Amino acid sequence: MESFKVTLDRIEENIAVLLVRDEEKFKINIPIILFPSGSKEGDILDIAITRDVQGYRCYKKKSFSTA
Amino acid sequence: MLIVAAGCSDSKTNTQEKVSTEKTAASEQPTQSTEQPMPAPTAKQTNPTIISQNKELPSAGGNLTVHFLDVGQGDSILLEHGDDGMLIYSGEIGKGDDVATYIKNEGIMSLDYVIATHPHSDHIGGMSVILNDFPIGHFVDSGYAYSSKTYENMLKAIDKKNIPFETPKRGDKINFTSGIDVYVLNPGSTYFTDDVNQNSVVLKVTDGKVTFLLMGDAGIQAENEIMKDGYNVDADILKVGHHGSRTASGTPFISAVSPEISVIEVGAGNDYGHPHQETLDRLQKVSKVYRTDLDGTITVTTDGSSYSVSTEK
Repeated sequence: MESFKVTLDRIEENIAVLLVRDEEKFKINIPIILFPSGSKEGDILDIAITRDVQGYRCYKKKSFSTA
Repeated sequence: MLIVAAGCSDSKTNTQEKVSTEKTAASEQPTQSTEQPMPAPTAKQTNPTIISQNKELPSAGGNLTVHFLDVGQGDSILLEHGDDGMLIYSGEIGKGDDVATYIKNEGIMSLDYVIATHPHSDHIGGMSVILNDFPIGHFVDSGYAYSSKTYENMLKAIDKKNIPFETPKRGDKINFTSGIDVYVLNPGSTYFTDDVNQNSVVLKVTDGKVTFLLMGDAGIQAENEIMKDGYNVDADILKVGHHGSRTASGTPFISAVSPEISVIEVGAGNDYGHPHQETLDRLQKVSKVYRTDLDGTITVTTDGSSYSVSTEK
């Protein structure tokens, strides 16, 4: 699992602008609707990205079976 | 980096308009160190005469030049008066070098004031370069503490260089340079906690009869507070709040400011749809609108009685 911290730098209407800590050189825009309720500007968040290997296998299998 | 530098040198040969203003702004400012609340402004009595002009204004040391730098989706404003320089914000992360180059090309090697209106990264992202490249006399901040590393690193650099750190509030005066009044209209005595934009440092800059109102990202809540507290927001040149977002530039506020020129600092094809059409419509009804995404860097020069506007594109 890859996990990293971000700063919720600002909310531009429905878009949350995240800065990847610590250097904060990379910016990520994510719709605010995907965030936990109560999220606000200045929050520090953990983001984890995991590969859904099983899901991908199922997709490939399904794709072949419907081909 | 080269693009902005080229824009700087090109801009002086490009489109220029001279605007005569007959407003009596000189009588609107008090002489003491804090601005007192003023009665609500009345409607303009005269319309400005806009005269096309192909020659440059004389570059006398007494002129105030305000550069609205094209830094994409972010803000950066350089005030130049004789040997004195003030930088308000410094653009998004990665834009610091562009801003520093522009300032140096103007022949400015030190800054009397640097102002971070608020801690969002599109306003302080390039600050590390500015702090590194220039001797700085005073650093002005909204004073609203923020959790980002960008803000923390900015504070550390200010501390390391022993730059006086100031957090003025509504009504305070900034002693920038002789003959130019700079008053702080925002933040007020208490901070907004749910919307950092509303804590933006808002400056009213007056050179004789010509007044600039520089809004940072302040929105409708801040606008209403400033007016509720009785401050006169009437101005000739408005740096529109929050990149022309619908969250700023409310109808009562624009009516009170009644700008002749509105400047929107905004990036082409930005992710947020700025400027919003309803805000543009509101501004275009009362003023000529300039946009950094369309016009490039925009420069306004005034001798205190009239002003000229030049654009990079």
